[in-house]
Amino acid sequence: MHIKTMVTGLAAGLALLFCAGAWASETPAAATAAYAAKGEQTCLKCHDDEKMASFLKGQHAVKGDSRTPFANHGCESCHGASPEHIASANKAKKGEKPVAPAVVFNGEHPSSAEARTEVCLTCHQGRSRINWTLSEHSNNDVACNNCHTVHEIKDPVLSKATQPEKCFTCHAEQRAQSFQYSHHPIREGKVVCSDCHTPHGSPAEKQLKEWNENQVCYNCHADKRGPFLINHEPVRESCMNCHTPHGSNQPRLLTERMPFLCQNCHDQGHPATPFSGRQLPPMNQAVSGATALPSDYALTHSLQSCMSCHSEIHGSNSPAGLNLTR
Amino acid sequence: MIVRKTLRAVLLTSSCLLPVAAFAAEDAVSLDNQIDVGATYQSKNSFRAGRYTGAVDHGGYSIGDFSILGRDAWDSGNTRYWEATGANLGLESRSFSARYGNLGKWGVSVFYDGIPYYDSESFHTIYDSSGKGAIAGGVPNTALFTSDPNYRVSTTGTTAGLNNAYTLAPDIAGLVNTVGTKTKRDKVGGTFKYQIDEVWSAEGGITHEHKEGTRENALMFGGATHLNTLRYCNPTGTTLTGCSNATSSSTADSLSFAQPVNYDNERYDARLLYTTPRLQGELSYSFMNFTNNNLSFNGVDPFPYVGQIGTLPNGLVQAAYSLPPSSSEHQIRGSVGYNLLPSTRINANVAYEYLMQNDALAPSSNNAAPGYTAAEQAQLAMNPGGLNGKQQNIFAQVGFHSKPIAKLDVKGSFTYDDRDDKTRVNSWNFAARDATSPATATTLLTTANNNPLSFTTATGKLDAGYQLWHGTKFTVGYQYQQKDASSGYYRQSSENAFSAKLKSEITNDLEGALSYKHAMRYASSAWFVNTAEASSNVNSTIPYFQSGRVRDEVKGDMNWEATHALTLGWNGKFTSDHYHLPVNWCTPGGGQTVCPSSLSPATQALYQLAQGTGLSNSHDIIVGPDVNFTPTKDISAHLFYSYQKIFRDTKDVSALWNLASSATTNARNLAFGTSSTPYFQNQLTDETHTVGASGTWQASPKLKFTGTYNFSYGDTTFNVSDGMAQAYFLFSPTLATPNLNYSIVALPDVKSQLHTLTLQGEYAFKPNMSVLFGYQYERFIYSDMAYTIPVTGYDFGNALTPGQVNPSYSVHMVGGSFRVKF
Repeated sequence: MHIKTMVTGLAAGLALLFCAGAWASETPAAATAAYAAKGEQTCLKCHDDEKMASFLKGQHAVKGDSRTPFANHGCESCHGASPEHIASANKAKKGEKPVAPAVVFNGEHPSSAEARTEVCLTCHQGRSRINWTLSEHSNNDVACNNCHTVHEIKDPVLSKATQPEKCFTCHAEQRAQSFQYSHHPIREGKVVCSDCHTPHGSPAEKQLKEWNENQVCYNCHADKRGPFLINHEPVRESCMNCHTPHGSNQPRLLTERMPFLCQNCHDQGHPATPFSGRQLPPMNQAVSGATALPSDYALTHSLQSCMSCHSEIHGSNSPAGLNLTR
Repeated sequence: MIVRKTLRAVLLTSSCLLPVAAFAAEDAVSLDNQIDVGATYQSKNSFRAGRYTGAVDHGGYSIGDFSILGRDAWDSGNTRYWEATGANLGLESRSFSARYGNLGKWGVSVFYDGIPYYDSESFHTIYDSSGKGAIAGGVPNTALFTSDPNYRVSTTGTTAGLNNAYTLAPDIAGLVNTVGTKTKRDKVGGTFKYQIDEVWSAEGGITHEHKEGTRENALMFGGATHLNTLRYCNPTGTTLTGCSNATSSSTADSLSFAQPVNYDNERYDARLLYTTPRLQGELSYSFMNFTNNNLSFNGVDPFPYVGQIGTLPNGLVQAAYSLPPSSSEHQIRGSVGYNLLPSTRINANVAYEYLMQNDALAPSSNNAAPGYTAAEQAQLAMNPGGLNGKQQNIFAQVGFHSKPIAKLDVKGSFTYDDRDDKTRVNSWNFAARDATSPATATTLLTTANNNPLSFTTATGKLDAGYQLWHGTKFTVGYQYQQKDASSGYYRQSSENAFSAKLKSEITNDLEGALSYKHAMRYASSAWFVNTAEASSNVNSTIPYFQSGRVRDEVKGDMNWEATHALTLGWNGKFTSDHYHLPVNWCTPGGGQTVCPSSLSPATQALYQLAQGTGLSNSHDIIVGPDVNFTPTKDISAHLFYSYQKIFRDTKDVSALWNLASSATTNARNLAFGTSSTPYFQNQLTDETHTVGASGTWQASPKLKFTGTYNFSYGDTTFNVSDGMAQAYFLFSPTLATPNLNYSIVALPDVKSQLHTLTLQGEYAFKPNMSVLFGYQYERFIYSDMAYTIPVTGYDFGNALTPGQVNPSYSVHMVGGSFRVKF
């Protein structure tokens, strides 16, 4: 399919949807929301626990900032106008279950992910959330409070020490990889998920912070930025051609051990030797009246392997570095 | 709908290295002002155990953490806030941050982060610690090499033909010293933000990082005839064709060396933001500058050459190993989001990036008198001032999300990603030699040129989801991606991907999702015609990351709230890739225009045969359950298990290596006709089992215990054409039949195990004071064939390997601290 056709199709589809949306989404006359007259004071009569005490120490409760929930309708700024819930407060005193607020974030019957997210986006749609509606998290009905905790002095997901565990509740693969032989120091508290990813949405694949994979890596590994005089093509295209960033059983976060990794592409000529156990000590493994292979083939099974000679694997800035040796 | 018990379960599964991070993170939820002071003791030395903390030696370490949080009272009308945190203050991995501001008006922050990395504690090198390439303890007495052929190596084999147990010449071996390699990053920075008015705000930041130390590397010396290797000749007197006792056929040697690292990396950011309920925008500029304070590592070559002509003592020569060049980057970005209608939102993102690199080029050789004439030197030279490398990246994306009707939502985007390496193509004469005799210099010069890589990727996506009934949604998607790449030759690929997903709240307590994706990528390659290459080397396969591919991916997850106290989860993913769809760009006699008719049918057949080599297929599997159990308000537990399997299947064309490669390039023959199975296969399977268990017990209002155990087991198995016969032609490409045959044998598995057990307790003897005590045991067991290769690194005639020891360790840590809250 040609790109031009794709773009035309997208544009036409967009126009159709706009029309449909304009016809279908009648904005109802804004009903006069019946917010509690006394704001948060109404809620605090019943909800006066440790959780609320923590919330009052957080930024959402700062009345001096006109943007915050408590500067507007108090708790109902987020939980929605809930006159029925307030009216049914007496039921709770009798041990019965009161009517739920308009928007419920936790518990047995929370509101839909869309409803919960819409509350937060009322204020937090800018900055890193600009691309939220196109994000993978949005596609998978992850609501803001699935990751964020508002009723705390400080949201744990904003701290390096506790952020990764939040992500690992869904991203089990990355949790397992963080324990592997080579890994970024995530469990050690030096790297966190948001150092590479923007969970609120990004125009890049995998919700990367930078808009292509290599740029993310260059933020910390700028020595690979180049461009070099002698480039190594898979490196320039994507670091993920050889590395897996979350963890690997191989050294240096490689997807595969050398020389086998190199043989994925270098499949002929000098690299195309079956580097098997025949190259390991003891050297003399005579077969068929001939002695074994030269000892230097054992170098291929050393930790440096092909990089014993071709060590400028990310590129070389030397005129003598044609084979990535200098 | 089930809501996973996120936070508590999250905290329970944390596993941090002692001494300090574990204590500090123990009660991150409450985060009252607090200060922790204490000490910990580590039972053993281990680079590996402390590689990211700096706790690599046995002995005592201090603990220091603090967290200070505060703001004006919520109903005071004031908006000041402040925060200061410090962690691991007693270790190299210490960090500190502070911020202050007025909410809704302005704010500033500063931070420091120390990131150590302990690489190897027993790295072998002959060089001193200056990082300049001088040999520690002097230079080898090269006179010994020329006078006594038997001095060079000792052998264990006596059979004429090959002697393959060599040791590094004693005079070089005597120079080897053991060093530790490590680096340390020190990162400082600050940010500011200012609310200009109700809709406009500005932000900015500066970061500076200094990284210093050494890292493992290897340097290849080569190109000239060396004296000491004698790989293929019996030095006791028997000579074979093309080999003599006085010289060897070796042209390359390798030495491990500790590469000096001395980098500075800065980043400057400025952002302007616009935020209204309907329209949001962001414009940002970033400048990044990387400086390497070392241009090259100028290692002295200890391996003497025939006709040594170097200007260093004993006629040695000096290499020039280029270190990563300094570079910089400008980046401008803009993002806009617009709520066209309550049900429809449009997004647009653009970015322009300009990367530059103009560091001085490392010289071809540091040897002052390599024997080249002035004219030859001029030929070799290539604008030493700098590459003037430039890369321009342009990124643009437009997208939309709409809900035209209540149950239907549609998303679409188009992305254009252009990465254009604008570095000029240069040509220069290349000699892979540090020194050579003048007589042979000119014959060994080949023309080299650089090949800047540029590629453009265009991607169109469309997804539509429909809510079948309450809590159940079905989504279908389509993506088309086209990539055009050029790097001296042109490649194109296009991929169509289809996906479907079903997500459902099956019952009030059970929810799940299942998705499937199928993608087909087609690739083509313009012919790369190089007559020298065409005759001696088959180099025409498309690398797997650009080749044709069929991908299938299945993902699923499920969560079941069995009881109020018990939640069970399961997730799994399977991805399968098959590469190298047939590309009919070269069929003998097929008449395709891209296949040069100038090549003989036999050569065309070789290229045809080469299709489908390299990585041919792979698959990844990950599955595992999660269990959260909270029987009482004082006890909670979390268990998880993950199984991951990665399989890769590579098929390569067997190259029969002619070891008398001092002959012509035709010495390397692809003897398809002489072997019934020209291919060999590498099948690698990488399996990982990960288990985690954690629990918290509030034994009393004052006493709390936390325990965590994690176990990770990794096993990489190799199936390298086991049992396949491999033939070699030795010393003469004209032999009718191979003169060396052997069968391939299996490689041993590479295995790793990591056990981590952490026990902590906190006793609050006063409401604002508590003591914390903890114990951590970590055992790492590693089995790698690399450590069976000569540990001394002396058992190669032409190479010094790093000689690292097995990093396995078993470390106990015990500590205690005193916490004050305020």
